Amino acid sequence: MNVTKIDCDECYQNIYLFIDQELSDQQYKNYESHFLECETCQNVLNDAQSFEVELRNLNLESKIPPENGWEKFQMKINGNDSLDLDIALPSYSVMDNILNNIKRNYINYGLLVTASFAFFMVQNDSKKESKTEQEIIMIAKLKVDPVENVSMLIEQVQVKKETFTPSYTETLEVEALATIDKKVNFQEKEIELPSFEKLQIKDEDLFKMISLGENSKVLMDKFPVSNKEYWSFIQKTKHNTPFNWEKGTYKHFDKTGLKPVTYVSWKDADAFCKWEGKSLPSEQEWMNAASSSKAPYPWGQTFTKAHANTSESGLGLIEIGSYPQNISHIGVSDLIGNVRQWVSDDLKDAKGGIKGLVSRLKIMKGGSFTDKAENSTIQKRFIGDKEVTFGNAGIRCVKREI
Amino acid sequence: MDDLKDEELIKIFMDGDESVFEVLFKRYYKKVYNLCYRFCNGDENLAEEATQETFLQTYQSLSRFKFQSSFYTWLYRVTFNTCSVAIKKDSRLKSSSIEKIDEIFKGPDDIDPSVSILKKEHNSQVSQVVSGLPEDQKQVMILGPILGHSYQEISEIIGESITVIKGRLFRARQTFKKKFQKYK
Repeated sequence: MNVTKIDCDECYQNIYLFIDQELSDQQYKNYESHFLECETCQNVLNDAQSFEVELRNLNLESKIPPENGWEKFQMKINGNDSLDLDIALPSYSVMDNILNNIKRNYINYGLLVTASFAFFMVQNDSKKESKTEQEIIMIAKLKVDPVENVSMLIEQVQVKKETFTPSYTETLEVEALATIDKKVNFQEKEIELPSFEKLQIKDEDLFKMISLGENSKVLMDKFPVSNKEYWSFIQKTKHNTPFNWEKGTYKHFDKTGLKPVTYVSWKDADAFCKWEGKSLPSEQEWMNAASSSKAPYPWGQTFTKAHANTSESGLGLIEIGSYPQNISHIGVSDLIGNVRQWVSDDLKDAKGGIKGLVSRLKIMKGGSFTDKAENSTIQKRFIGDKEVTFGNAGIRCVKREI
Repeated sequence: MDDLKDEELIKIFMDGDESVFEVLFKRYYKKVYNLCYRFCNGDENLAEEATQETFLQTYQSLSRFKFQSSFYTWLYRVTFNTCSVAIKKDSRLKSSSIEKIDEIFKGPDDIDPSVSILKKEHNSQVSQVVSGLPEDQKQVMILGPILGHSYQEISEIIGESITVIKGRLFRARQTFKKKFQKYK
């Protein structure tokens, strides 16, 4: 095969055709011959090839696609794909729908609305010994502009996704949780309490603490922190008041001050505990206080409406001590229902938690008046942004003796 | 069925036996997903949606396949178009792409963890540069130098002439080189 001379300029222009093997056999020979003769072009080729190696290296590992692709596809062609939602990750359209739903329902309040979402969609692969779970989480803070009255601002949207193998599978059930704070007309109304008599709470009861065990150096508040106690904290520290208070007081919706304080963020809760010389319990401490067994409730396996104030009661937020049966083996009251309680743990670092997650997500325990009894168990976790307040979340402190 | 060539399966499909689509699906599922994953900047959810959409489009239009190119190239073209639409529609990529970039093109893990970390860091830099290329240059870089497709195949997939592909690849490589040298 004869070789035709080519010049350096042409060589430079077509160097990638040479690398990509897009030249004819004859052209390839011509270039090869030129590279042998011309050191400059040889250097250019070597330099270019070094970058090609970098690029090729990126393709050495392929990504494993979701395993049930064909089954999903079959559902899709049968027009049936939405049925899959409870086992698959929620699509962004699902999240969008929820956001739109909030906009529709709360747009006319003309007041601050914050919302925090945590989506957990668990994919269990029964074929494998270890369960691989996928999680997607989204936090959105929404604000209704009080002047415009119609515009909704999305302050923050974070999306994170991780694959992890939890050691704590039983508590990470399929869950889609959306908690919405909104300002409503708080009118004191007569509440029809269950027929049994509630505990008579005296001021000293509010400060009662229970030891977590004979050898434990941890004491836990018997009751969640009441509005009355939180008011003292605000008076002394000038800390910001909860969202539902007016003119610095809770009196318009809580005459006795014995309802648990709500609309406190994790940060507020932490500040309160520190002010009292205490701290937030860890999730494990909270669970130890609730039960010494793996039972779902402090009183045992089954739930009745007489046990705790969950959404089934329809009562809304009520005073602490209203459910005498809501007591644990060591005597801690009101762990389940009425208000969720912040614990110190960050979801990222918690047992069975999710590595690599944003570090601002904190855990709440116990369920509340908005949560169903089946979700208000000792094991269940609720997740909230540490700076977001919830109308169904309050505080319970622990004191660690040194 | 598994032994049949793509074209033979498509003919059976065209003759009315649509069950053969399962063979085609399973044959290309992983490849299509990986391509979607790369085109969608490492967004697994979007990649999964785009993969499903790609196969749906393929299923719906397979009876019109003209056997002028290989099924593989044709399928990639559908994939490419689906991802382009998905990316445009999905503005969320803008907010999540930064943290996803590192995951896009992970190199294989070595046994020695220190080597593995170094390699990951290095590959991460390379992938960041690739992801930072203009969209049209990024596409040809993925299909050509990274996945190893010929100019003819890239031209069929993207729907541009070979001359355009050639020029675009040249520019993409120049941009890549310039940006990557800053890391070195």
